[in-house]
Amino acid sequence: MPPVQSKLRDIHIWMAEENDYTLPGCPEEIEWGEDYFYEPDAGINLLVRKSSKKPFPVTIRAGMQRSGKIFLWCNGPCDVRMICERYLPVSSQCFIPRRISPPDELVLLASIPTSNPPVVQTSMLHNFPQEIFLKVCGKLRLNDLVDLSQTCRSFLSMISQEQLLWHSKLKETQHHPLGLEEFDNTINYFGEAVKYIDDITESPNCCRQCLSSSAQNRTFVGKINPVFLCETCLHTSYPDTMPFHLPISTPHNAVSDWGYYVASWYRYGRLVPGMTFHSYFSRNRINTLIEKGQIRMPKHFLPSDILQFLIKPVLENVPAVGRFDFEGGDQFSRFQFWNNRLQWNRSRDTMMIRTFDGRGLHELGESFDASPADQFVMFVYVSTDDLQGF
Amino acid sequence: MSQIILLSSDNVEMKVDKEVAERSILIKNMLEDVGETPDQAIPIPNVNEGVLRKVIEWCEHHRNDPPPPADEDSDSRKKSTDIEEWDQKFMQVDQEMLFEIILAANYLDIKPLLDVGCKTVANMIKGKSPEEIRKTFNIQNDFTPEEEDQIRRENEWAEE
Repeated sequence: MPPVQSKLRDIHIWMAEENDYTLPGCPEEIEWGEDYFYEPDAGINLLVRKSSKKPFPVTIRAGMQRSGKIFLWCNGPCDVRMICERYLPVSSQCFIPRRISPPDELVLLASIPTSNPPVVQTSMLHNFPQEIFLKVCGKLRLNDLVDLSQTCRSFLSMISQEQLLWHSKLKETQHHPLGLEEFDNTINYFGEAVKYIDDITESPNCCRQCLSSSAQNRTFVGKINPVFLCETCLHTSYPDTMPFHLPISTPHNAVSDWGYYVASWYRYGRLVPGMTFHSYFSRNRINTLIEKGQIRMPKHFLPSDILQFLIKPVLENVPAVGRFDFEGGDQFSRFQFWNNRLQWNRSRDTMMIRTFDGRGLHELGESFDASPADQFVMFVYVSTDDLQGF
Repeated sequence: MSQIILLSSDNVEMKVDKEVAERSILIKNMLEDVGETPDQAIPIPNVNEGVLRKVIEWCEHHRNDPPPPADEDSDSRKKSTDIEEWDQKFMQVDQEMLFEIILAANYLDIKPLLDVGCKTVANMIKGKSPEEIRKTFNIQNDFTPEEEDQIRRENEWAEE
């Protein structure tokens, strides 16, 4: 049986509440049931973060049942929310019951079904060196790439790792922008933005969140590690309203906003693949932005005419109308809201935004509870036409 | 016209016009380093006779083609269906040979041939369902049904 570690990669745990936990040390030995496979080195570094405090590592133990299920134990409190990103093939979100375990009791965090053992693939495609495989992928259209990624675990992993899907989506949007002509300028802007953010975030001193140069090397959430954050961002990360996958916070300086969102998409594109611009907002984030009346974006980051594009009118309209009407049938202006909770429904001129239970976005209000599940993603399609009169 | 001798991995010598052989950047650089046309055979240790003959056949057909652009991304909009008719026929070989040709093109640094090979493979994938792709390439499905379902749901965004 293969080591458990080969099945698991990063596991991230956040404390859900402000309780003053005392984490015990990891027990020296664990009584593993005979049904469980135990790989001593399978201890996976975790970062458990108390709200507003520095993260600290705990140890998780993983065991694989002969049935193929992977079990995870944690020696810490179990009142945590765990995100388990398995090595293969899909991410898994496990919710931990809200109870506190005795400090010396191992808590079963999750059992993850998985096939076992892994298959050794021998196809021509699998035998290609990676660069050639990626060349082939680069010649596929998005749908074909998706189909290829669904054939086996290794392709899913590789294609996801390389973020080929959203690259492909972006490319196709550029070429066949869903009926949206003259879209290229926007795409180019975006391309520049991505390049910019990529360039600057290559610097280890650059905070991934606010782009300041005072980041310290810290490894925390995300598929790509390490992620560098400055102290301030580190301490303001992970509010209760944070989305599952992303360290969304209220940035502490003005330069943060836009750069950060683009960076998030770029860095974490697989999780929430978008098309052109997108942003993530928690309820608090929206409220904050609405109160401010705008999102500030660094002038040097994107061309000024695109900087303020549509975020401002969107947010200004959110609490008032709950639907977005674009006069003149501007086919370039479309908004999508997408995640598990929100669905989007588009017509030529109007975008209705409603939750699955029928509420309009404006109705979310107080009932839009501060749950991480309630984050939503906004995709903004924009052309220079949208900027007229802005 | 000067000729050179290539020596395949299975020790078969092949005489080739220098101009044809120089479609391979690897060989071209090698010849430039030597400075004159070598009398001895140039070993191509990673390519066997059958594959080398195919590669030479391709190079001969394309001997007068203009050199490929230095920036390969500049042609990124070209999709996989853009394969010349002759190249399409050339690539009508079994998968093993196709695989070997691609690897040889990569090793010999013949970008246009590598490109055609990758496009051919891409065309073999194009328009097929995951199951059809598996059958085409003999890929084993190692997903559980639940995982397949989840992946399908995760990829719904791509279908929009």
